[in-house]
Amino acid sequence: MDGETLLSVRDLRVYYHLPQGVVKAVDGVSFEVRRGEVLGIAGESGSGKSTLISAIMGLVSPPGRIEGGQIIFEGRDLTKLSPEEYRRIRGKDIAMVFQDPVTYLDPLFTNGFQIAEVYEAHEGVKPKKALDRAVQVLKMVRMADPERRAHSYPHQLSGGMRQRVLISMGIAARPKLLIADEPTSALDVTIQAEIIELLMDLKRDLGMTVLFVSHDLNLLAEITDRIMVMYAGKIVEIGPTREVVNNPQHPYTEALLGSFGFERKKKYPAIKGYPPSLITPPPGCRFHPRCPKAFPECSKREPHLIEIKPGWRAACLLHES
Amino acid sequence: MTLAKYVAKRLLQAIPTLIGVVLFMFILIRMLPGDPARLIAGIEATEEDVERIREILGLNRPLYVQFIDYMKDVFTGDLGTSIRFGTPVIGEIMERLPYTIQLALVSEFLAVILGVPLGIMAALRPYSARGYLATVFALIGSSMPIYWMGLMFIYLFSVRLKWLPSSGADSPSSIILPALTLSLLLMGNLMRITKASFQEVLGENYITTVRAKGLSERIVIYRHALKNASVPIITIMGIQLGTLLGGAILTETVFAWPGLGTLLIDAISYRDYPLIQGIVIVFATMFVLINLIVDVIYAIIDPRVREQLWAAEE
Amino acid sequence: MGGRGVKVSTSGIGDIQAKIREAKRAARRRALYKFRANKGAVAGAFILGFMLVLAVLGPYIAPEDPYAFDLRRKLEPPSWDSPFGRDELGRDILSRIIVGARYSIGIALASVFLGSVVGVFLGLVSGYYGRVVDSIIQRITDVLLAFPIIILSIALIAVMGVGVTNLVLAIGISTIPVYIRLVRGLTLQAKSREFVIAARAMGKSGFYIMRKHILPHVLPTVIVQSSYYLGFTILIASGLGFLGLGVKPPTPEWGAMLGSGRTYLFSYPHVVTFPGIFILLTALAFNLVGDGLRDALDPRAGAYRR
Ligand SMILES: Nc1ncnc2c1ncn2[C@@H]1O[C@H](COP(=O)(O)OP(=O)(O)O)[C@@H](O)[C@H]1O
Ligand code: SF4
Ligand SMILES: [Mg+2]
Repeated sequence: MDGETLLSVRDLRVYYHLPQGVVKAVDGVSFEVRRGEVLGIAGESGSGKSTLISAIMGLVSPPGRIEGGQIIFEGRDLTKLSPEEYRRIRGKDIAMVFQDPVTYLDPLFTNGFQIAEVYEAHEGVKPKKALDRAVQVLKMVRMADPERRAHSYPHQLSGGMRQRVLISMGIAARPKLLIADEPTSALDVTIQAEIIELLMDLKRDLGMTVLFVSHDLNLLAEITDRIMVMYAGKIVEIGPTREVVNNPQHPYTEALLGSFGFERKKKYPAIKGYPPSLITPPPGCRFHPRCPKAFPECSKREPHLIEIKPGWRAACLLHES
Repeated sequence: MTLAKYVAKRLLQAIPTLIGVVLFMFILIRMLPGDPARLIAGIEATEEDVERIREILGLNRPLYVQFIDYMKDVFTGDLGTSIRFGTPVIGEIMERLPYTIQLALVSEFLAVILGVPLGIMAALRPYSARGYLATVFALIGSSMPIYWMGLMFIYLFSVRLKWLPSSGADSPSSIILPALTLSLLLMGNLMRITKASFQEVLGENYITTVRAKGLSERIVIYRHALKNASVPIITIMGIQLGTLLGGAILTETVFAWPGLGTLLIDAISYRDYPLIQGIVIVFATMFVLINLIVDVIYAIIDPRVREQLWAAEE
Repeated sequence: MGGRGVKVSTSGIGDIQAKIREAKRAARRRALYKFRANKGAVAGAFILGFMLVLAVLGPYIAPEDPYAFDLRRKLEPPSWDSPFGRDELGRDILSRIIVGARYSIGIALASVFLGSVVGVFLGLVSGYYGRVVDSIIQRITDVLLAFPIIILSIALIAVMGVGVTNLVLAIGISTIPVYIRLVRGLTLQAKSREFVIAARAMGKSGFYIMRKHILPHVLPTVIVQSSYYLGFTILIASGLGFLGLGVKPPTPEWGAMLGSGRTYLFSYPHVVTFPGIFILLTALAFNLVGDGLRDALDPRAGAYRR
């Protein structure tokens, strides 16, 4: 079964319509996720990672809109589903672990109740009746004293524990695809390692496919099978992790790798300059104002994803000449 | 358990405020220019009458003795004797109080069952006509002289259409117009706050989580959003209590509703100071107590508030 | 800064001061721009301007003497001669409304002015000095806040008696505690900010710091609160007038006109219709302007109503 395509995104465009203009947050993105793999999505903040994910989850809401493209999951185009059909997939077949454990939990409901709501959504049982199942899931995420934690409220837990609660909600229905959007970037370094190890163990034990989003390419290098790098709403490089990391084919990937490495904890902009406006992106290659290897043509012609080797592509004019 | 302790503590805290209220009214009444006994008795009264009143009110003793006595009396439920009726003030108040409470409750109920759903509707479609409706309604509601609106209602529903009685409390339908008038005063702001807090809550990340779990919009809105938005909604209800009680006085007068408000206005025109004093104290006590109830409701809804309160108690 | 800044030239300081002035001017321009962009606020300002003209020029523009009665023409419905009709004593209602503007609006303005000046002062003192002063002021505030605002005003009027001055005093006093609470909170906030700490370290007096540093910090909120209170006190003042607890007859205050006209509602509704419309419009205008001011000056400040 491994290796077959689970999810295929084709020419997806997601725009936010703001008074100042149209933010082209995801602008013609195509890729595939294979059953059983861990695919990493990298890119600075603002490159459109979260928007891409919310499109896959069917959670794009105004001012955002899916302008075009297809999201094919197990042969069905999700963009064509009715809200009710999408609802039945969400949280069951495709589930999500969010970034910030503080704001993604409802402060007024107990942790157990919020986990048990997954069973309400997909099996129609009342959350109060499914609390013991929530406790079981908390055990799976190695929560200490799960019974008590199920009955306590989010604010009574530490950040790491809250992240475990969020993960519990993600895996409660044994999803086929688990999407983790920067699940550790709000946590301490030591807890980060624990959470990542937990996620990888769960992936193995439950046989999930994982989409792991992070701005930290070096972290992705350690845990993913393949890596996809996004810049300003587009894919700039995608390929097997080892190859991409050891021999990056796009100057942006290279810069991202350099910018973390040993200096991971420093907070200054990793790459000189800032990501461009997505309302009026730079002409030609969107990276050219910041690219150390830029040449005159870069501001005139837009690069396309060129195959470097089978399964490894990069969008840089250096490969097109 | 702890909730009971908290309520008890809040009640204890309210006591100094209530003593302050009584003291304030006590001083205020003594500040009347001239001899209060003469004032109360009226210009035509004989010297004996004035002396008798002085005796009744205990005005010939030192001030602090008068206050301590009055305080004792108030806390045993004795608010003095009405000059106009010659009966205990507390009796007069007890006769009218149920009408005011009834009017206030029915109005608040109407305002909530109309205002909250309309506010939610407006929040779900903020840029539609009904989205603006909440804003416009709130604005007009908080600018409306409600006694005038009451008069207009009387003209429309009683004089022209002859559907409803214009005054008194003789038939069950008598409460409809006053309650409607008073509720419109509250409804606008309730709608506006419901809309605003719903919009804010619907943008929160935890709402995205609920959707991501695959729960229906019905549960997103009526379980998670409503519970979170109810905190500001209850706050505004608490803040509006003063408007509610003050508005009740005006509404009662317009519709000759036999509550505490009309009694107060009568008492003022008869210079029945013990009665005035008693009614104002009762209004303030109600206000303090209902505010206390609002605080307790917070503690019930929000576990974070609850814990803070319990912690502060240690 | 101190050690190395010895050689800062005076022109440098002048530059900085000019920059600060420029920044303040820019902030004012931004606020004005935001206010102007708010259609409701502009409409409110127009209505208000119109009402103020009535208030100032009232007796000069009123078509008739608002006090001259003519019992033969009592309760005449609206006509070309008297567009709003005539009241129970045959007086021209339009003229009474025009002249009444100065009472209805004047009472609201004066009482909010009184309440805000006293309340801001006590709030500053309470927040800045803390300790015993604070405790005493706060206990009194607690007590005053235990009364709904209308009831407190009624109680004060009951004792002081009716009349314009007493009305202003009663309503003004009733608004004081909310100002105290608001300003005290903001003062406590400001007290922990660098500019206040620096001024104290420089040995500036308490009153100087309050006036120069804390007052500007609390002013936007006070302005917003006051504009709401203006809308609210117009309603309270006319409400008291309606109850017969406002101005003395025959003063043409709008609420009092409603109160004395209500007996004729059944057959002559025009007597109460028009004064009510003016009360509504004025309160509406104050509230619209208040909303505009809040958005322009202090988006986070919620108005506090009782
Ligand atoms: N709800 C939204 N409304 C308007 N713009 C948005 C919204 N969410 C994201 N954006 C914009 O879309 C772009 C991509 O953001 P996002 O998808 O969050 O990127 P990432 O997850 O990589 O940081 C950014 O320019 C951001 O400002
Ligand atoms: S196309 Fe040019 S600007 Fe873009 S990444 Fe390649 S070299 Fe740099
Ligand atoms: Mg993101």
